[in-house]
Amino acid sequence: QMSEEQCNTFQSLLDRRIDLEPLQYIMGQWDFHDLVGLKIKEPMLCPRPETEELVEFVLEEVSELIRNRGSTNERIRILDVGCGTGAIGLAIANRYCDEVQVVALDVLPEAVELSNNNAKTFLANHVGKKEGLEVNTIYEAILCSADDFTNTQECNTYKMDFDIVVSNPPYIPSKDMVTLSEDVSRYESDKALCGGDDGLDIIRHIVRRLPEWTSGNCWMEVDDSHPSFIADWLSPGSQESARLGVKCISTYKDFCGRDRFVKLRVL
Amino acid sequence: IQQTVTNRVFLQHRRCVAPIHHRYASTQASINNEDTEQTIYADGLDQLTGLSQATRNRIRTMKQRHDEVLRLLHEGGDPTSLGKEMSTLREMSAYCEKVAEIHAERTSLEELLEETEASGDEDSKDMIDEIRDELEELQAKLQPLSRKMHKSLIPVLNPDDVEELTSSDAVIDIRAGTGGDEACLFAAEIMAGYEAIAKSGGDGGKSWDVEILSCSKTDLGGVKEASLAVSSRGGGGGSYGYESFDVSLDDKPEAEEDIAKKLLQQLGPYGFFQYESGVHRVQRVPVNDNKLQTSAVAVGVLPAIPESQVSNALPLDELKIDVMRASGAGGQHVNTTESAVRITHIPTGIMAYMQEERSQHKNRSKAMRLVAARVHSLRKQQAMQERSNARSSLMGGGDRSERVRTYNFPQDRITDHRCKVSVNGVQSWLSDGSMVGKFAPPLYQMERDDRTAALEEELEDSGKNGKKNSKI
Repeated sequence: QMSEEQCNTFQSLLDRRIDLEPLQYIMGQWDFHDLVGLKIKEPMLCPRPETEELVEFVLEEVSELIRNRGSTNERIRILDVGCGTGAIGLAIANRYCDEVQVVALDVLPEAVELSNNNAKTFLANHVGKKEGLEVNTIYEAILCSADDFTNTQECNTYKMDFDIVVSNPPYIPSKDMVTLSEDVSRYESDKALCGGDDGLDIIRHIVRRLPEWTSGNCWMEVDDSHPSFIADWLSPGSQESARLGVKCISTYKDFCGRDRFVKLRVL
Repeated sequence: IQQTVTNRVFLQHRRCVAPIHHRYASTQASINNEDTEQTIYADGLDQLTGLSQATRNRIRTMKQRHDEVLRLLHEGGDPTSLGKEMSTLREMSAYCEKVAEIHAERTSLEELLEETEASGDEDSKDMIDEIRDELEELQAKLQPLSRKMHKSLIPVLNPDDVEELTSSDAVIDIRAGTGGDEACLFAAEIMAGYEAIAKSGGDGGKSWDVEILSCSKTDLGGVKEASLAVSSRGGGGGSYGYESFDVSLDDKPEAEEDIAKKLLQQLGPYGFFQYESGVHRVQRVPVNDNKLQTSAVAVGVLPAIPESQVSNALPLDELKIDVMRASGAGGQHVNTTESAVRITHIPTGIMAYMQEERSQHKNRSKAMRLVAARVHSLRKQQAMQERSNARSSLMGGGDRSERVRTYNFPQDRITDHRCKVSVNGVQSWLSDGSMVGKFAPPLYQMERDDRTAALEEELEDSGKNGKKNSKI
């Protein structure tokens, strides 16, 4: 038996769903990887299952880095480009809270706020147990685009030298935007979805900046039209690869059998 | 009187000094004299006339192995595996040392007796009687010792399985069988019982973690089927390791509760639950009826594969992983909350479908653990069938379709059909799961009796064939 107030609340939630509002927005939270109850808010992108696989790739590499480096107190530095809800970076920080330091970028202030908020939720317990450890030692989101995340002579604010770069950048080609179902197109941010004509705009920014950010690997989730293109474009020994200082090491399929992931390395 | 007192003191003094020297000597002697059947061993085991020659030789081999393992441990060998082997041997070794001690005492007393009798002294009559009394006392100690050693030949836990029984985690599958809603309700009760007893560490001490891998419920609160993972987080059984051992010589048989308690303390989650595998039958009047109904619930208990070994146990190319696949381009194109995963192990056809969790990653992880446990269990059973004719269905935890237990509510009685043990108070045994710890010890005893019978056959055969040393 539900009270009248409960019935009204339930009805209004149903109405929202009937209007195709994503369930994650209605609930205000969902699970991602090992994160239970990640807060999710419009218009940030609702994390997809494919992105969990991206996290697994990075976790495997972090684990290897930890194995091979011997004893040290230095944290493994990870850059999450286009963090949205903070899902990717936080899933990594959650698993390796003693070993990693995640810096996360987004162009939407709401995304930066949401990511830092989620960070507090998931890392507070761990931070509380250790003297002098703050949440932002493990995870910090800042307002910055991929392109702007650079140091110049006038402005040398950012610490670079990342061990791993990871991104689920907006990658949908413009022409495909109209094919999106309504629950995506009407609610989730265009900025989080559209990657320009071929969907590669942001990816190109990332590739351009990559050698400034890291001398290691970059893992990306991309449109299924991209991996073969990128493998070609940044093929080891190719002119473009030499010019940009980045090569494509391999591509991977997701669990649906679609080309989905690329692994790049700085030359 | 003065003389007698002096002699008694002298007697005690000789008794204290002599045995130590004899004990080491006798071990040495037994190692050197193994070649001929006519050899007389100086370790004193031949005093135990109640044991066959073959049995005594088997005991000797165990004692030798014990001493060897001890030496290896001191030289820095692997403490885990050696420690566990030591645990199966220390009891027998302690008995052997006691036997050697008694033998040495008897020998020195017999010498003293000879001397005293030869002296022909008038006063020595009292002393002779005293010595004879002492010798009788020592003789009397041998019988119970002999019985204990015979029992100790067969360790409580099968050495082939002891690692699994003491340290492996468990996956428990529960499925309601015939009986519709009633069966589902009973399945829910059994599941709750298992959860409760697991959380109290299976009577062994530290609480175990219970994770519900999957669970499909009915509207009435029953369970159609469920899978649980019970984990000791590496703790295994409560106490299993190399400890000092106190040899008690009195003839009092160890209390059954103490034996049961010691057994349960050693068992890890798999060892504790393994004999729950099979069909549990319940007889009671359902809530909405007045006629007695019989329903059934099938339980399967499998050793769990540790998370770190799952990927080794199941190489990716042997698996088919199906996820909810959106039409179109997938990825950012589609927002889905469908996270169900189905994993199929292609070579065996074993499959698990998981949709418990909101995260596809978690569903995948749970499904992998289920498939890994089921594949491992299938392979183990196949290996066992190839290896031997199992003496009884108790070897390897039994057949899942075998009817193992009946819970009769009107008669308020639970009966285990294998060990033929019955207890009263169905509800109280069921609600906290304590029936698991009640029936496990007699079932382990049955399995041990099987091994004892097998050993006796073997020793009989080897005796007939004139072999002097049986294989361990």
